[in-house]
Amino acid sequence: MRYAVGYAAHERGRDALNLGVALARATGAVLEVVVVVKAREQYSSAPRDDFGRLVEDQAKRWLNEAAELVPDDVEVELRLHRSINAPAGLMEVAASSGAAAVIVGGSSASGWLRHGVGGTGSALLHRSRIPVILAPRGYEPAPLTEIACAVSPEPESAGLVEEAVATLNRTGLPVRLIALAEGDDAARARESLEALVAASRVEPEDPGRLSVVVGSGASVADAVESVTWGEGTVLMAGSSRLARRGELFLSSTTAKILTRLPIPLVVVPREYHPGRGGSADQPWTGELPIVGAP
Amino acid sequence: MGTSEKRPGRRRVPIHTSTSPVVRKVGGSSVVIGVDQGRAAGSDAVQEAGRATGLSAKGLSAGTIGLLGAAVIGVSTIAPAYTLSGALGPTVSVVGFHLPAIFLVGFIPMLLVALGYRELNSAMPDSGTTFTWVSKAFGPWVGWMGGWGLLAATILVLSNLAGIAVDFFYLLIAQLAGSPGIADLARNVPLNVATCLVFMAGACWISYRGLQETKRFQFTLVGFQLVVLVAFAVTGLVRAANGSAFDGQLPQLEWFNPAGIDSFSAFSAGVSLSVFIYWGWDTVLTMNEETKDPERTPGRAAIVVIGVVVVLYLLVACGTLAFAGVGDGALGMTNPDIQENIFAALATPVLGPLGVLMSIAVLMSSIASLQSTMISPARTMLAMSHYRALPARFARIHPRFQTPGYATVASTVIAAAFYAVMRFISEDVLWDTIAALGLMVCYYYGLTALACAWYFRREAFGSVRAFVVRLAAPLLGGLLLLVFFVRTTIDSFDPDYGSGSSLFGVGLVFYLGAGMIVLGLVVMLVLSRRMPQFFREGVDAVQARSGPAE
Repeated sequence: MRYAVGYAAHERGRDALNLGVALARATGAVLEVVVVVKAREQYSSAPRDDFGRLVEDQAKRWLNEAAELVPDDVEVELRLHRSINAPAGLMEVAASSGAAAVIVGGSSASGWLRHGVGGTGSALLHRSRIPVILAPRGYEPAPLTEIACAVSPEPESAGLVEEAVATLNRTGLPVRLIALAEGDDAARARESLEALVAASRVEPEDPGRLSVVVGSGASVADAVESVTWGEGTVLMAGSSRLARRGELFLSSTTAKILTRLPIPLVVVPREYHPGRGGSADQPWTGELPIVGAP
Repeated sequence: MGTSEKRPGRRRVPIHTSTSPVVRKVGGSSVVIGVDQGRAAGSDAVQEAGRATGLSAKGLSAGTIGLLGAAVIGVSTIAPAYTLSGALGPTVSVVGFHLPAIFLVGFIPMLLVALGYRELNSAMPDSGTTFTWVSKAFGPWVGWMGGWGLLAATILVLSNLAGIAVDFFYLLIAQLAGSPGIADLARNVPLNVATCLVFMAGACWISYRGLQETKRFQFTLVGFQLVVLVAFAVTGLVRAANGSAFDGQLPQLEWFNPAGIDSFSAFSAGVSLSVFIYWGWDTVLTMNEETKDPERTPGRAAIVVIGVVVVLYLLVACGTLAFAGVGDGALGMTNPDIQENIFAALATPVLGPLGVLMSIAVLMSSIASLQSTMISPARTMLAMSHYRALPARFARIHPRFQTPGYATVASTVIAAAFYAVMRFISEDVLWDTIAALGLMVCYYYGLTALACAWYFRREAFGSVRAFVVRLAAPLLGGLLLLVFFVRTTIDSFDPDYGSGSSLFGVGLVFYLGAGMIVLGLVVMLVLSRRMPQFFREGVDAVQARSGPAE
């Protein structure tokens, strides 16, 4: 298994790389560090004909720097890809090398949010066919200890709940199903979420590791703050119902979650469920139990 | 965790570079971004035509081949060097100095049929060619049999081409090494089959990787072939002029006069010959979904191919006649000992020490043709399967190369198995099958030409041009070929036809030709039971079920 890491030589690029390292250490994945070079338009003015070469040389220096940032126990590959833009290039590389997920950092220009989704992240979050993993600003690598899964307590989430249970079975990590309730719906949310778990066609191998948490607050953002987010946790979220089958589309709730979320977020495509055509082809956590799972 | 601390020079990781398929280099370091105009126009055109005709694209790599590439692949399929080497001698035996004339005569039905192909292609650019067009004109049953004709002919000729390539390969080694004994290695059946399988696997591998790769491979081989052939012809003419030829005489206009051929049988032999020497240009049409501008490029390329080939044939015919004459002396063109591979005998006398280049050209020609001929059955199978007339697996497209991978491998495996089995059983049957292929070619070319006339029967009266190219020319060409088909079928009753093998007093070639058609009928009946939809609704069925193609 491999992850495509969208790298750039600034702090946000290093966030992505650090998150890639943490995940790769847990799952044993190969990191493919990608720098996408924008191919130039034929008719746009180019002051010097070897401008493209200068850009590519710079990109290669960045890639070499990135390789030095990756510790020895993580296998790394470097790729310089020319494409029309960064998200398109990342999706092309991920598709051609069979990556299980794309990892990107936030916007290099964003101000204070932990997750400032930039242009590349935004495009990926609305078009990718494989899970997109967002690194929070200033991510400090921590061993992966838990997977949280944001689920809306509605029948449409049945597939995502099954995927969360399957993830538990695959990785052996504890999985927390998290519903975020606005106002005082918390009890009802817990009830319907537990009903979803009970109805899941995938049985947890270790039911003790599956927990259900309901965060509540006046708004979704407040509800996010009511939940404690552990250091080694990543949050998994599904796609909007606007998404086409098999593609990502950031849902409005997940966008609200992002405004307060301090930990990495994994957004999976629509219908990324256990079974053919979904996550079973290549789950983002890999097929093997997580290294050092409790 | 310490992952962000720098440890310079700790390890060297190689950097891979790649370029997005939507970024196209246009010389130097400049690139064009976004979807290539030609490509976009290409796939649009297929879909555009599809909306009107109920046809659909099949996931082939659109816009990979231009006019030049298509023409080169077409010339390669015809394999001029190898064809001429085998065909010049026997033809001269029949028509003498009127060799160029007979090439011109044979050119006419091919041109007429090619015009029909061009018109059908611009109306329905579909990689199924004969199959799709005949299905649209005459319905699914006839269309299926048309496709079968093409498949049978092209797949079986692959085994012939590979066999020829093996013979020439050892002949070339023998010439280079100066020991004729090596050429006899080709008679060693296990070695022969093994070499043949290697050639086939190589050709299959290139075809599997797609038309870009094919084009690269073919540019070299075809270029070399054409240069050597032209050099041979010109040197032959020069030697005839300066008196250093074997039996020198300068070309005369009379050589080109078809009316000068004295007998009708010679004339019909000429038409028969044309099927063999010009066969192959239709490969260009089967690539239509992969060309830039699919409505025009393939048709034009087919006409260009036939044009180039006829000029080349005339030139080489004149050059060879001028040098060697029609006698049966040592180097005479009617000497039966050298007829089988006339260039092998004439190359050194004409080109001197460079004569070995001619042997290389003939070998390359058969290898190139082996590879390019694979294009056509694979794409026809793809189309047949796409329209649910063959099992679905034949429509598998390789995700990266965007080629009909399964169909390519399947046709190679059938051809290789056929060759291997036939080599061990009987070489006669092998060569008789090839003779029977002439029947199949006439059959599917003729059928396609008639389909053109029928399909355009209403629109053809709009203008003089439409009448000529859409109705009159294909109708005439198709009828000529079908007449020839019937005549050859009758001829093949004769036990002496082909290798001279016979069964119950009827020639083996007839059994093989009829056998292939009967086998097709049987397969069709079985399939019509198992996948009845195509046979009920024809090629429109797919569109109705799956909606517009992607």
